[in-house]
Formats: sequence, structure tokens, C-alpha cells
Amino acid sequence: MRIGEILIGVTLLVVCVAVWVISANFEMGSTLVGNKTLSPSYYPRLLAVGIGICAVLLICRNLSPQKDVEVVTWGRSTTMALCMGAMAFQVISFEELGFFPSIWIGLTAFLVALRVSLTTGAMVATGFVIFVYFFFIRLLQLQLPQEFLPSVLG
Amino acid sequence: MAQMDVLVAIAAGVLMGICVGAMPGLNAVTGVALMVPFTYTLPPIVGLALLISLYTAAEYGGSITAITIATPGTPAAAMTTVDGYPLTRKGQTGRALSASITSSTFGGIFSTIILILFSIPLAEFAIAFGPVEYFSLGVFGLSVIASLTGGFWLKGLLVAFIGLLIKTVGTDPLTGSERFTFDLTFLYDGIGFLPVMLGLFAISEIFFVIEKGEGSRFTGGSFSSERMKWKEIVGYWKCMLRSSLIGTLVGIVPGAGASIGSIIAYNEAKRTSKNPEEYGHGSIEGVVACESANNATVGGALVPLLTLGVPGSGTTAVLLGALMLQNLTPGPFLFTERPDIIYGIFSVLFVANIVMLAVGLMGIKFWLRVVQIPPQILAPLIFGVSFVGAYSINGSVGDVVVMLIVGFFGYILRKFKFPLLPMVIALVLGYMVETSLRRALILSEGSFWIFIESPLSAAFLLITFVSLGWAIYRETQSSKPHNQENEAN
Repeated sequence: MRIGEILIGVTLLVVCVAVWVISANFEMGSTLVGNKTLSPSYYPRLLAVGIGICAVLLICRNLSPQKDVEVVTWGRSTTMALCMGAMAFQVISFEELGFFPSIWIGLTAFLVALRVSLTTGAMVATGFVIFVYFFFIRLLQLQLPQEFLPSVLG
Repeated sequence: MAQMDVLVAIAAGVLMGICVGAMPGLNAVTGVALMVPFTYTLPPIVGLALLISLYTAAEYGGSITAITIATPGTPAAAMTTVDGYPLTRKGQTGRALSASITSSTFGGIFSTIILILFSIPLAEFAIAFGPVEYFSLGVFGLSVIASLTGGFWLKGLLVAFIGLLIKTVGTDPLTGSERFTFDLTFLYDGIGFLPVMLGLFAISEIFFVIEKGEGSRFTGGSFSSERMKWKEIVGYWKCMLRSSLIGTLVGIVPGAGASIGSIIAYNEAKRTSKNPEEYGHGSIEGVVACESANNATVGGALVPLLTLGVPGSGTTAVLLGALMLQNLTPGPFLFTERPDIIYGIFSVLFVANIVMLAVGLMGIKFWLRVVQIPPQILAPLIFGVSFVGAYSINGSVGDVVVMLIVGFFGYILRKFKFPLLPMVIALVLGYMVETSLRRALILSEGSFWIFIESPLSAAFLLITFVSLGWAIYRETQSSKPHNQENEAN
């Protein structure tokens, strides 16, 4: 855990520097130049300083000798990769394939990756798609993408 | 006959409100806005009965999924997740849900009574709030963080700063310049609260299910359908009363809303509790505090709307539109010219809360079935609902991407025992704190004394320091840091 927390601290220090640098380019607005309290960068920079101080303290605390260092374990990495793939598929294909095929394929894949049988997975995904259609689209009239390959078929 | 129409409208509104509130991505504003066109042709009181019942029930509905599957249906229910979901993991879903519905009903009825008795003087309280008072109210809300770090002070503070920073993404509210948008259009309006909430609570939980498989999360073996006994519920009367009062007052303040109400009520309940160590690990009192407060904001929010014609929240703004569609102009004249409408609204609020109690208690068995679905099936379904919910907020995949990134980020933070609640609070209050701080400093030409010169602001700051001192004292009394796994949930 010690190395992990040091890495998090370093990452946050980088974020803090990035915030400081990026906020230098914020547009001030013509009537507001010269008044620091009005600057759009005033508050993010204040927070960046706070994050920076906390990150340094976190790094220092983890560099000092500690008694009970708890080890963080990571399990089922293959399943994790497969499930994240199924999630990513839904995000990428949602507007292109349309709601029904995208969610159905993505959800079935997700369920199968979690070791649910293909038949059960397909049935659950079908039930879910029907529920979303009737509740979200028909009853609440939410706009979910329903066109198939709009960029290809027009 | 007209009374029967009103009753049917109330029942329909309550049912729809619970469904809308329980669905991530949908909330009271969406529900009320969707129903406004259908009320146009109805008699005014029937239409208003439908909308107000929906508004009331949606505030409760958010707690159902927060308790059962760690997915807050509404932003205000995020705090309910903190103790509601650990109760589910202990197999006490029935108790948590019954505590939620009864305290929501209490909060709703309490705020209605306040609305009837004190609406005119309270309206003056609402207009006394300027940027100085808003900033102090925001700081008071942020002081809650001190009692929610579970002993991990540094990590809690760090996470809170990150939450505040996330809230700066988008168009600067004062100058209109873009901040951290990187030319991505979906970031121009900032990062929404709900995608972040869904990521932190639901998606990070799903990652734990994926990692550990069966027997990890969204499960806990047997679930008791046992509800809380009335006698037991009555035992929390002090907490309900205090939280309802906080919720009502916060509801009256324009722009504050149910999320802030439940945060402040939760903090006060923990601060005054005999068992503060139970908070975050499955405390019924914690659920009672949040739910009383967030439903009490409904009556509070109607105070400035009905007395001044000023909508204090998104939902009351839509309600204002609905009233005007019926040729009714809220304000002092409505009380003298159309008392039938005013007293009708008061009656609807009472009846809607009672109908909500009946429906909520009957629905507990159904929600118990949901939590008994095996986690390897429930997790993908929760992902699906969260996906559709996040997308439907703005019709943008960008919100879904934000939800997934935050979910993964939350999962990593939880692995390293970072408390997530400070981030939730920072996200709720971030916008208010920044805008009011900068506006107040413009007024004072950079002098911070302005925050002490206003009596209301000074009072808030004083309560903040007392509250912080008390929290620090109690934290230092506890020997070991609490288990973060429970704290984060």
C-alpha cells in the first residue's frame, strides 16, 4: 500500500501543477482584468494549492517507516478486463448501433464474462431491453438512440 | 366527484414519483416536467395534485435504490446510501426501508405544517440570503467532512479538494470563460452531479463484484423482511424533528435543495447522537436523519414559490410554470384571490404523504426480492440502468464516460482506503461555495470581514467552528480509524 499511496500522491502533484499551468490561460473577460478575486483561475488555483499540500503530506507519511502496512490485492484480472471490454463496447456502439443492439450485446457479454450461462445472459438482457423500452422510451418518452448505423445509412 | 379526481391524481403522482425517484438519472424535476403537458387540460387542483404528489414521492423514491443496491436514485439520496446500504449488507433491508418511508412521511408532513403556519415570515428569511450568507451556509455544509473521514483525515481532505476541483470544470459562472473543458462540448455545462454519484457508488461497487465474484457485494446472504415496529420508530422522534426542521429551513433557501438539507441533517444527527460510531456502518438513525430532511425540503421549497412567486429549485421552477399555465400567479395575491388553490395544495401535501407511506410500506417486499437477485446478474443490470440513467440526463455519451471514469477512480480510491463521502459533499456544495465566495469578495472589494459583518453569516460560521471543534474532539476520542470499506458505503 505504501508504494500505491506514494504513486497516488505523485499523480496528484502532477494534477496540481497541471491545474496551475492550465488555469493561466483562462480568459479573464474584458472588464475584469486586474481584480484577482474575479479571475476564473482564482478558485481552482486555491484548490490546487490545497491538493498539493495534502499530496506532499501523503507522500511524506508513506516515506516514513510504518508498522502495519496493509497490502492491496487485485483479483480476477481477466474477468475485470472482459467486463470493462463489455462496458466499453456499450459506450462506443450506443449511438452508432442504436440502443437495442448495443445494450443487448453488451449486457449479454457482461453477464457471460461474470460466468452466467449464455442462455440466461441472453434472456436477462432481452428482459432488460424490454423494460427500458416500455419504461424509459414509451412511458417517460426519453430520447434514446434507436437508429441503426446512422452515420452509414443516413 | 372532484375530490375523487384529486385522490386518483395523488395516487398516480405518488406511484410515478416513486418510480421516477428510484431510477438513476431521473428525478423530481424530470418527472414533474414530463407530466406538466398532461395537466394542462385538467382542473387546476387536480393537475397540481398530480405534480405535487410526484414531487413529494420522488424525494422518497431515491432512497429505495440507495438502500437496496447502493445506487442513489436522486442526488439527495446519496447520503442515505451511507447508512442504508450497510444495513442491506447486514440483511436489514426491511428495517432500513421502513425507517426511510416513515421518516420521509414525517419530514413531508412536518414541513407542510410549517408551510401552513409560518409561510409568510419564513419567506422573509429566504430573501435575507445573499452571497455572503450562501458562502457561510456552504462552509457550514463542508464542515460535515470533518466527521466523515473515519479517522483518515488527510485522505478525506484530499478527496474533498478533488471534489471541489471537479466542480470547477465547465463555464465559469461569473466570467463565462471555459475552464478545463479541453474543447469537449459535453463539458461546457460542467460535470453533472448524478454521473459522478452513479460512478462513485454504483460503478465502483460493480468493480468490486467483478473482482471478487459471488459472495462479495450486492449480496449478504439472507435478507430480513422484518420492518421496524412503530414503537421503535417513535424512539427516533428527536432525530426526525430536528432533521425535518433543518430540511424545511434549507428547502426555503433558494438554490440550497434537498442534497444540502440531508448533508446538514446527517451531520447534526451524528454530532448529537449517543452512538456516533454506528454512523457509516449501518445506522438507522443516519437513514432517518437524511430521509426526514430531504422530504422536508419539499414543503420548504414551496414557501418562496407560493408566497413570493420565487422558485427556489428546479422542480419548483417547473411547478411555477404549471401554475402559470393554469392562469394562476403565485405570490401574496394568490392567498387572497384563490384561497381554494392554496388550501387545496396544503391538503394535497398531507394526503400525498399518507398515500406515499401506504405505497412505500407495501413496496418493501418487492424491493427485498430485488436485492436477492444473484450479484453476477444484478451487477450488469445495475450497470445497464446507470448507463441509461446517465445518458438520459443530457442525451450524451459523455456523461456515461464520466460515470465510468469516476467509477474506476472511486474503485481505486476505495482499494487504498480513501473515504469517498467528502467528495460527494464537496460536489454538492462546490458550486455554491465558489460563486458565493467570489461574489461576496467582489462586493467587499476583497475584504474577508464581510463574512462576519452579516449576522446570519456570522451565526453560520460560529456554528461551523463549534461543530468542527466537536467533531475533532470526538474523532480524537476514538482510538482507531474506522473500516473504510464500510465508511465508503
